[in-house]
Amino acid sequence: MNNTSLSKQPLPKIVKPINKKNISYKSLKMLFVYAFALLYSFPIIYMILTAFKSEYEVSPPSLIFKPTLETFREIFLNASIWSALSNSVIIVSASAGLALLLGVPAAYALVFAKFKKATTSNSLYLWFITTIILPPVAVIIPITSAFKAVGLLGSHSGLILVYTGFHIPLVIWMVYSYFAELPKELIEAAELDGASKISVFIKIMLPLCKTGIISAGLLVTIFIWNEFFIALNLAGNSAITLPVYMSRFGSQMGLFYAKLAASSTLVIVPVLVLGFLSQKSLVKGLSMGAVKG
Amino acid sequence: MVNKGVVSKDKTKLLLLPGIIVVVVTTQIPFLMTIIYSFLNYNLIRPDLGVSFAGLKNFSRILTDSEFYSVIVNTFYLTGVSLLLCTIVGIAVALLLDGEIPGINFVRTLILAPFFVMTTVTGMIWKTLILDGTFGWSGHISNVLGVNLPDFFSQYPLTSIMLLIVWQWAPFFVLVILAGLQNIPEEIIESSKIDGASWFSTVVKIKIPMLTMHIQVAVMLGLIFIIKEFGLIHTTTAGGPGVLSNNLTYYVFKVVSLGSDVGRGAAIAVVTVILSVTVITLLFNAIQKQKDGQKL
Amino acid sequence: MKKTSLLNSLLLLLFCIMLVACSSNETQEEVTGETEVNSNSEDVTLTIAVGNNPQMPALEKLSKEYTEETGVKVDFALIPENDLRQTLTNHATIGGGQYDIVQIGSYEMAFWADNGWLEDLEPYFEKMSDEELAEYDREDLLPPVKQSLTIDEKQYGLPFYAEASMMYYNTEVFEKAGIEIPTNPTWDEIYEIATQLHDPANNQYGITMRGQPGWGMNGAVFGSMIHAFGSRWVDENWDVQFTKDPNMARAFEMYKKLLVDAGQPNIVSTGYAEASQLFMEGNAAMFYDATSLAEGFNNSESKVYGKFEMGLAPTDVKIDNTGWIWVWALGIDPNSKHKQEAFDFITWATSKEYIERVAEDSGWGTVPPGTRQSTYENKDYMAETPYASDVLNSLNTIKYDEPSVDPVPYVGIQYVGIPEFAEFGTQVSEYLAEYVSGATTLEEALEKSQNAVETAIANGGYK
Repeated sequence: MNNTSLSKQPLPKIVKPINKKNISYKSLKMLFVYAFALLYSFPIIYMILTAFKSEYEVSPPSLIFKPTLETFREIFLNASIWSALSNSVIIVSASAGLALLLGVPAAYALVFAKFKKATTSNSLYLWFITTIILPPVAVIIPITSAFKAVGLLGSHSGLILVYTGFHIPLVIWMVYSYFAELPKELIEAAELDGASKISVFIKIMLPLCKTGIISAGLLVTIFIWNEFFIALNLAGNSAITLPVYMSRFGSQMGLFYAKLAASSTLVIVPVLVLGFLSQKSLVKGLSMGAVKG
Repeated sequence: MVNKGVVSKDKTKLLLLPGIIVVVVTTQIPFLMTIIYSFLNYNLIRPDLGVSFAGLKNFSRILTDSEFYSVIVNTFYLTGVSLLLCTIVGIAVALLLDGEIPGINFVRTLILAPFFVMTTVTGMIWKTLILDGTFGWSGHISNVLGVNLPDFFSQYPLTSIMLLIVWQWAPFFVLVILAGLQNIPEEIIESSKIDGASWFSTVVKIKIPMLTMHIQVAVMLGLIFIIKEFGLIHTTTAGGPGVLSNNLTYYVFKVVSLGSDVGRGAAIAVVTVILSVTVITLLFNAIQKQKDGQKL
Repeated sequence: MKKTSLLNSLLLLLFCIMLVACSSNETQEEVTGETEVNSNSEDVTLTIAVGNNPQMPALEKLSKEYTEETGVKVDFALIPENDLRQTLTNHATIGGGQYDIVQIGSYEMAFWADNGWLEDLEPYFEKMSDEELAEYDREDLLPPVKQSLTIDEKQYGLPFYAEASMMYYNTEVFEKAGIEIPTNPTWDEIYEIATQLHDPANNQYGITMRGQPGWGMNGAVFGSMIHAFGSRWVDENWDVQFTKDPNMARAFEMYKKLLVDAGQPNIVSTGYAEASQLFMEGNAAMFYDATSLAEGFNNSESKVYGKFEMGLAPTDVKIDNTGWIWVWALGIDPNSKHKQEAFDFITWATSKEYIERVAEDSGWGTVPPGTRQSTYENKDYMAETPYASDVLNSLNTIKYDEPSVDPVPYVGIQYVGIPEFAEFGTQVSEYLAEYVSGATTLEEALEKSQNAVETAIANGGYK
């Protein structure tokens, strides 16, 4: 919000004469858009509806039924979903937090630090970016064996470490362009006033890049919350996260569709809320990072 | 490489150090070890055979296996076609949503939702509630309408997974492209309308060219994530039947978790990285070139 | 190897630095057996890794009583059954130590003992007093069950529960159609009946079986079919039989036509959970699967409660019982620091006394089945589970050491008892699924299977 210079102000709309043809066309289009949106998200809507069914009403599928909270009550009584939920919350908040904590200053340094060779900062930046495209299969085997050896397999710390490492580059990539947009004179001016580099960073730079940092944090949070491959390999049983929990659903407690739907609903609600709150800043962060990078 | 600049007084660059260490420890060193493993005879469930240098044996075994090539083809088919479909759907839906529609926020929210749902839930829900021939909607529709809907995950495993990927990722494309559309200055559109251009030609000649950058961003990010898709495959077809719906990531997982064959798994992982990075870099360079071309 | 270990230690060092740097004070899983060696059993805590299946919560609950009696505490790690194998293999490959007691299946038993990952139990039995021995009564364990846990006369695990594979019949569907439930049918007869009862328009399927790929999924069902049709994975010289034995092709064809002509839709995404759901909802006339699933059908929440029967696995060339047998057993990690206490606990958990205690606690219908003759001599158990005598008959007639008509160099009915099987068994199960879905021809499926198994056998150094 602080950096209005980045977003284009909408231009004043030209008022168009209204005619009947236009109205009926508009309402047709509106209907079509609504129908499309409902159809597109139907699997999710139906999943949420099924969560309010009892196990007996699941088959054959129908949209009309007497809603009940019974299924939710049953899964709330199930301890294993709570432990998966708490694991996910701990791991996601710690690793997203750490990725920001390490990534944002790194991005700042990439933009403002003075290196002996002028190209160093650019090549370091490129190096970070290329690690984004490294698929997790490339590292999973040695990490698994190393974790086994030091006893990190199935621990929160192990997953947090790997998630942090894998998402720092993403944070840097998204935040870098925000710092790059800031005028260097700001720093110089502040330093002339006697402020230290660190306080310039914290007091001036960070607030100016709030949007970028928040959107990076949200994106990383969503990605880690949904991450499956690494968790499947490293979480063991004691640090099992929600995606792994959901993937085991059928084999663990039998294939009960209503319970499956209720657990799924519970699991996706937090990211759905986060996602909707953040969609605007997300787009901005992503396109900033990519377009400028 | 960081040490080079230590002599200079500027301490700002020390801020880089923790980040670099963590990234090196979690990505570079393990990847180096993967490369080493790929040259070893190393099977966890045969401790009697021990660990020994294997030369190129792991590589020759996978490269002479026709299955491996079908997995490679699967991976690129899955990634390529879904990206193409995502782009088309993304542009179409973004154009649809770009305008004054009452309740647009609600509509956008609905369309965006699939992107935020975790892949394991997406897979489970589609498999059980939607495409199940007995308890799901596809079975219900077959019965009510008397048509015979196919058994999606058995008969068209790769295509079904691809459609799930598109369902999940197209909203992301919509999100990015819509942002681009809304950045196009109104006066450009208006002036083309005054010139008598049809809706279609406005879209093709003006809007889409102005969206290039945003489409590229979406494709690039989509590529990075779709090429390593795992959760959808794991929860719907488990790569089968045969290797019909295996991609490279899933193939490595199977070799290691079922065969406990660390050496061969590592070799496949190395080939996977080489292929993925090559494809992504090629695309990236192409985009970069085009960008430079535009600037000139 | 020097290079690897150097890099390994480098990596570990870096990890340690990292961890200190992050100063994460997460609650970590306790990894090493940090419990001090203590002769005083008051302070002993055993850690046991078991599958998260319906029998285990009862064991966890009742183990509290064991703790009260003996002072030995038991910590349970409940692991989803699908991941149990991987978790425990991981545990074993790093030298164990974390778990004192592990739950392992028949398949692992075959080579875990060879790898030195399980403790030989014979010395502990020798230490038992006559009275204790009489009370435990090893003779009471069902012979094929005991056999599958014994290698070279040494027993490596105590059976917690066991299952055979049998054919389930929905009596209501059969009565309505006026068809008699066959005794000891061949697969051809099953096919005929299944096609007659198949009415997919009304969600009524002739038969349901696992179709989802995986050696323990469709592979288990198909593995027993291979032997029924008189074929085998490899001959006595480890010669792979897929393209060489015409009976193998017949097994492939039967499996496919049964499911395609008279089976559930979504064939290759149906695992045992999906298939038993179909049978429980009354959607399938027949269901070929494990006897341990019967408990789920035998309660009032099931739509087939009191409306199902079980019969022996169908036959063909082989006319003896062709069903599979699977035993979940409790074994001891050789690196455990409390092996004697662990042994005492697993003898308690697999004793007659324990079974009676479960019955007292939650009814005879819920006791761990398939391990002891005495369970099947108990009137209450037989009354609550009308199918029990059929299960016992099946378990007792399976020839564990002679799975096929012709001799084989391996043990196992629905698996080949070598470590490589987990991978090549799954590959074959994938080719089978591919063939069923119509993506490949019979010849291609057999050819691919032949190649996969041959490669694995050659690489494993068996031939």
